[in-house]
Amino acid sequence: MPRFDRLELDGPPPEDDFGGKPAAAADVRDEQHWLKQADRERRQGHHETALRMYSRALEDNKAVIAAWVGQVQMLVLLGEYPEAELWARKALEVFKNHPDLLAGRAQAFGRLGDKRQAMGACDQALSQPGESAYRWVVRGELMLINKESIDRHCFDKAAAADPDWLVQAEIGLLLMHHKQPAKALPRFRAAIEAEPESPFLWMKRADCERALGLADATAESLRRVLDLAPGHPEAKMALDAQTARRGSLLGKLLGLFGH
Amino acid sequence: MQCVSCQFFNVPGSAACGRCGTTLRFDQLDIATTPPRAPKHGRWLRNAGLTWLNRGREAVRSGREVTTGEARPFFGDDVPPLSEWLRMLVPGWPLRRVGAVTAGWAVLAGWLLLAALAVLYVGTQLGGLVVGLAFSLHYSAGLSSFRLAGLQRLHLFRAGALLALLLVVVIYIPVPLLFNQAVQPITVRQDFAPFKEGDVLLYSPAFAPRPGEVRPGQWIVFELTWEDTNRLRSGYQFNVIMQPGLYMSRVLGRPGDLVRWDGETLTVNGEPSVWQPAAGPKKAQSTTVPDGQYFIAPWTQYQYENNPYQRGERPGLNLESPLRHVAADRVRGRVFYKLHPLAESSRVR
Repeated sequence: MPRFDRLELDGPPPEDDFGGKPAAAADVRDEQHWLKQADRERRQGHHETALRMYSRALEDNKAVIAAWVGQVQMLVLLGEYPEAELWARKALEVFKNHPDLLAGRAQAFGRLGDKRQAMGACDQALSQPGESAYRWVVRGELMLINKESIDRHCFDKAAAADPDWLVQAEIGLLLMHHKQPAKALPRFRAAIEAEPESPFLWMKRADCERALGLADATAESLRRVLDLAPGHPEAKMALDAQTARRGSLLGKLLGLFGH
Repeated sequence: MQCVSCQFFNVPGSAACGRCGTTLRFDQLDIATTPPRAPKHGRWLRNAGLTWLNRGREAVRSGREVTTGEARPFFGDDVPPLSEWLRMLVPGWPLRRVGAVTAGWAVLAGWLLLAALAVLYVGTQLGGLVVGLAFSLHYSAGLSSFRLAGLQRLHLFRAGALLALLLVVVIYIPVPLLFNQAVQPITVRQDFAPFKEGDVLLYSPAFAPRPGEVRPGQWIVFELTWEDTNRLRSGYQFNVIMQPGLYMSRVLGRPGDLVRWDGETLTVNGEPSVWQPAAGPKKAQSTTVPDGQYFIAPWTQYQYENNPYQRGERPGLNLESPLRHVAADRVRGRVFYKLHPLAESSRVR
């Protein structure tokens, strides 16, 4: 929990992020530094910046698989599916049959509507040794695309494989991408339970609630975003629009029906 | 040297992982680390285009698989057998098979009631409505049986679509068509003794009488074409102002019969005709019905009182008029039953 790092407690002074190296070494910008930056940006929903950070990490060390996987994931989240598929394929030429890269390729294929190739790549990813959340996330998404009813089982399996709230948040994002706000809302709620101070999660939760027509809950979530990040432009605009709508006659009428 | 991909410990000095083949010499690897980026504009359009292209390919592939028999089962593992589909043709039977015995019998009873009503009200709007209700009952009972049998979601939807197609193709299109060939309703549009406006009469197109089979006094349905309604007569264009179509009348004389009007009574071969005009000219006249034609009474929709274009014929009888004759090959059927009103339902002789 980085926010507790600066607490003045009894005992030795807190170590920095680089395993207790001298303070001067904190300026060392190696691949681990960029990976941490990328992760931080990703947790705030800044996928474009995270992608750049992953690229910087790879410039320092091409052997960091997490950066390759992160690049593919960011390209998918940014909606650049052909590029994500191409990049996953390129990375797979170096890291043969890496399960997360295969899963990334499957996800890109799935978003492009090529179900057959997507299922093939996903099957291959799941057949590789090891256990990672991402391949189950992708499996769940493909189940969702194929309108199979076991998508929830796959997402739960992913959440069990990695209890990080980011997994729940990114499941929520993909569910929102497939216009399933009712399924996405519990995912964002679970992520918020783990990380209640993230404006990004509250904003996404507000999006879900708005899609479901839960006006009061949306306003509450947006206010929470503004508490956590005062001046958050998107939240401010959404809250203003919501207030204006509720002031109108139509809004009042809809309010009678819970909208 | 541990592989970064599969964590396998390789022999020092190896160029690639012995298990997964990943290179172990990343310092010598010449590969770009910045991914390609999509153009800023039109990204959504491009993705949508590619998605639809892939969906199209998928559809073509699925079509090929269907033709080569490699397709996934249409209903998953729960393919309803052919016998089940055949039972679907009988309303309520599939419901009884899946255990809903009372509901099955109730559906059958309801359907039979609706079918009887459809026959009784054939040719009316109510009849069409009742046929629609019968179809709804039949279809929903079949669909319920699929659901009770355990078909879920997409498979249920597919089965429902197939069931609707089956019922429409096997029962609800051919049966009414055949029924209409056997029995066709006519609605009388204006009072025409002994019938009244709104009466529904039945005739049978499938059993139309052959030339010479019609007896005097029988009611026939005949068809007029443009050829019949526009013809040359005595060097002049003789136009009868009426539309081609089906008409109903009563046969008074057969080919070769002598029809005679003596100023008071219309006789056929010396016997008083079954139909007598309300009024007629004082002048006597007679005619012999030509071969291949019938001598008929005035038609249903075009009596003198209502048709201003035939006032020249008043007070009502011109035995030579082409309006009094109909070709035998134009006869489309014999009226045999008066269906409505139901209280007066009886055979027409």
